[in-house]
Amino acid sequence: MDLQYLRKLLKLVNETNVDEIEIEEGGTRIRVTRARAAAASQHVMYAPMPEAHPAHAHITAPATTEAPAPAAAADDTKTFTVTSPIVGTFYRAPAPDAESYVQVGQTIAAGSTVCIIEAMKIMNEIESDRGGKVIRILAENGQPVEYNQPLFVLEIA
Amino acid sequence: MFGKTRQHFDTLESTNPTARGLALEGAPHGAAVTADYQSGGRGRSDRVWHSPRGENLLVSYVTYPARPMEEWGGLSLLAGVAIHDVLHEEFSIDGDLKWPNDVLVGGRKIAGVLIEGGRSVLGAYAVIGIGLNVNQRVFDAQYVLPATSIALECGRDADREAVFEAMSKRLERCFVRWTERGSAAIAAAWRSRTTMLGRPASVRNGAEMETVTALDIGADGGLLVEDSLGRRRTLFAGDVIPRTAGERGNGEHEA
Repeated sequence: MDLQYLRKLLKLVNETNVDEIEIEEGGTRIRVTRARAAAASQHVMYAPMPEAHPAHAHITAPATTEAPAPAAAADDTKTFTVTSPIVGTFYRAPAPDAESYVQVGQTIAAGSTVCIIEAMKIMNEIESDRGGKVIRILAENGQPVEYNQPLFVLEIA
Repeated sequence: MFGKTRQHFDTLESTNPTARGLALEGAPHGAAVTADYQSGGRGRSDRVWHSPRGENLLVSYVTYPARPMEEWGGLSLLAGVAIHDVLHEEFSIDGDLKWPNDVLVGGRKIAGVLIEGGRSVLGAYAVIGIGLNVNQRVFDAQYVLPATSIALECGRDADREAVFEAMSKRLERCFVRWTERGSAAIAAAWRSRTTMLGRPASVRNGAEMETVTALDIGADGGLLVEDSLGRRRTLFAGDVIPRTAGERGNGEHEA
């Protein structure tokens, strides 16, 4: 499957009010549905055709920037979610033996580096566009992350 | 112009962080940092990368890519293409690209690249760090993937300054091509400079090792591989070692 294509599809759904889109092309069917409200996530179903082949990949890409943080959903606290701008590997520190850029409970300024995403042997420093208190870290060090995957939730003052 | 603005140091911890510092201060596009010796040279995952004083080309270029970060896979590929072409044009050395941008000669590593991106006052920057073995003839046994140099391949020493000039020119040409024509043009150039496609490779991601067949690279630079069960996936990170490269062939080195 063409990941670039899938990425564009996810972006398209995120940027519009479309709740569901299904595309069938060259023996492959892709369906993207947006679950609104509490769960606020996108589900991407990818099924090879014909359907006689039961094996299929199931990719779940969590929702993007405007998604409310699960932890904060119960109250009125304003939050901001830092998402991954690219597909890659998530690192919380600049080097294996270095301290993490941010910890839960820490208050950071807008423009602070919060992590590194490695893709194609490029180490990209990712900044938070907003300042606030880090209340959740949603990705694990050294693990792959998807395009637009939520990484950090900040409580905005 | 690449390399026109240049700061040279006898000794640096590493050229990349110095170049990143310059990028944060708004250094011009193409500004270069070179060093005779790096006390803390490193590669991916902070692997130690040792180079004897004054023998190799250690350079980092400050760049400000006009293309968005999701297209930077092409930036990674073009660095390898540029090194490959310097070796071919200046020294008639036939390099072989190892995804995404290491350059091998006869299964031996001659150059490596580490790119670091971030944001400065001038917008998104990418520092392209290149380590190219020029006149080194003796290599530590710690390297799992054996190494070589221009001197070893040509049988005579090369002028490091001339290599720097050629590198700057070629990297700039590739960078402009990527900026104007996009990653697909670079991916096409990359495909014609590798032998790893269609062949088995070892993939290391963390502690796991797996044998796959490298099929192709996408316009985004990702490596399409097929596992032993015929399942395909695209890699964007991790070590991929062609099975033909090196006797031990299970990693770059053991640092």
